[in-house]
Amino acid sequence: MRLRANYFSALFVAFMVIVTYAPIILVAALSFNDFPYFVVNIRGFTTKWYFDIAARTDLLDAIKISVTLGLCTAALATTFGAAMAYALVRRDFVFKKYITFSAAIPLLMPLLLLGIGIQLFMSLLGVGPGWWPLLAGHVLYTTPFTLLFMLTRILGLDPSLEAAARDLGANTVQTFAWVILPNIVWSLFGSFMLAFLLSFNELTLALFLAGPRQTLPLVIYAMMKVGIPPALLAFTTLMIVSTMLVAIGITATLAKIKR
Amino acid sequence: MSVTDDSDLRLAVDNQLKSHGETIRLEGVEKKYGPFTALKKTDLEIREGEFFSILGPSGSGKSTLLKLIGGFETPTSGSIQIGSTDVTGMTANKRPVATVFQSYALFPHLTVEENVGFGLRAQKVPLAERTELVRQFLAMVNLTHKAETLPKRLSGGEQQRVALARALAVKPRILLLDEPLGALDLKLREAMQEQLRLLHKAIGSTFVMVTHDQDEAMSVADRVAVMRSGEICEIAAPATLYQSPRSEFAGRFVGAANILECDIVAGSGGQKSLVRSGIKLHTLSGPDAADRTGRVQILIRPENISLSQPSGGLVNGVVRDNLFINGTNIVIIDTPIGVLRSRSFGEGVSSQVASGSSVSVGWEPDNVVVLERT
Repeated sequence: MRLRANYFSALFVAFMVIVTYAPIILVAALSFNDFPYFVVNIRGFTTKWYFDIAARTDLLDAIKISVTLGLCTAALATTFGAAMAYALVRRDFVFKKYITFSAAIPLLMPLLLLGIGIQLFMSLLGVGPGWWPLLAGHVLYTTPFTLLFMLTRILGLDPSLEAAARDLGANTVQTFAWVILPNIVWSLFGSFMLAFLLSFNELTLALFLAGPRQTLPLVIYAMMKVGIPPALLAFTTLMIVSTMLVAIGITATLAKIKR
Repeated sequence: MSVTDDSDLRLAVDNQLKSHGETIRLEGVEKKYGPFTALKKTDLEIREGEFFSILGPSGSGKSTLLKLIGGFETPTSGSIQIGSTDVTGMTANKRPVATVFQSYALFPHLTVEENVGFGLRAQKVPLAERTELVRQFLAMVNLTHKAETLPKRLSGGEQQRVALARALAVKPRILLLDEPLGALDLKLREAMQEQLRLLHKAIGSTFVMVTHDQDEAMSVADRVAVMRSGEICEIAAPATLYQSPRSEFAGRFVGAANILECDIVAGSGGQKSLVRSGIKLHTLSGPDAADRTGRVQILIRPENISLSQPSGGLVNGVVRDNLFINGTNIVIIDTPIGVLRSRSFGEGVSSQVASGSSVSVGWEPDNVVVLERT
């Protein structure tokens, strides 16, 4: 009985791994295929698409825009989320309960509606689509996520640590820099990564708010109509591999720190 | 690691580590949280350099009192003075006060020596001087060998000593201790009580300790304040508090007590008798008698109740049980005036009497405490 149960769970895990990774592996495999279209038509091995990336200025520009947007979004959303989380946990103010609840509402809202809403609001202010409205939209969209992420950490932070720091003569800045920050730094990092990835992959809001500077998801979306260039597959593969390396690096570092 | 190792403070405290105490004066201090009054209007003076303990059950307002002195809360009304300075509006980091927190609140990301040096770093003490002071305070709590360890790698007793060293390193005029021994096991706790008292003598600061454990308060403090539902109901030295409490609450809280409610019956020559179930238990005379009428409670500690052969004492009774606890005999007796407990070190009648046997109960008039009405 026990053996059969193990057999079954092993089978299930194998199935999940295949389902999850098959598309990624397919993309990676086709990036080495000597055929200029995104179809399963194996012709031969080539690395030329990787050298092609440098020539595709449209892709490179889009990547640059998306990375910049992601970093700016992540920095702002993490700062706002952390500050809000701290205030919600440590400070007392009127309607605190309702504010906590309303801060999470955007999570439940369809992005399409949020996009239309922001666009309408912008037009009321007389602002057209562009990089700044898109940044504002992305910050608005990702902050509830960073807020929830930081809330879990700050709720777990013993308030008497801050009391002890104050008690020993530390001022507000010292208490933050010497006690609070070192204890939440990994959560800040995680929250930054989360916001970056949400922004980097975001298409719906970008459709409404992006101006002439198109983000990577927008460019890829447009390319789908004319065919995905193999250079994009090569770029995607590079990104997946580097992400995996970074993830492995972080896990190893964390394990070392914990030990 | 043995228990004595874990509680050992090296008490050859250098002059360099000494501080000196300061008085704390609370005038009309009150603390409300919304409609709830955590501390009713309180006047209190804690003397320079004394070991003061605030004793009370949970919710009695003792922690609120400590937070107000430490600067973690501001009073709703009233003023707090430390020495000659009014600190009512002063934040915790500006007060000459340091705290040993109940949870110890050691900084988890800093090593033992960085924890101890934290306050000195905030005060911008030069590195060389800071290192030397940290070294001495670590030696004082006997943790030199753990200087570079993180707090989570320490035992409970060691963490507690780091918390003590960290608080004392800023040379506070006042050291607040919030249930400092609560998380330690019994043996270690008893050893630490003794060490705390020696440390207090050596350092010289005013120590204020909050606890719900009457043994802890009574064994270490010079004076004890008993708190109940947001107010201080009695302040006295431990022995006074034990031998002649004024209120029933304090009397019961600091130790086992026989408390009997009596009728006051006027006698001749201004004397008044205290009578219960038709038996005269005590006589009041002088000014004590003059202003008392109606009913009154008397308190007799179990060790002051003596047992003798039937009809040898004040009241006859039947032994309900005879227990041997911590080297003493606790005899529980059913009498016409109620159930009484006597405690003795097994001499005389009490070690022999078995359940069901008849005894007589008595006490010296000096050992009767007439409680105030509350």
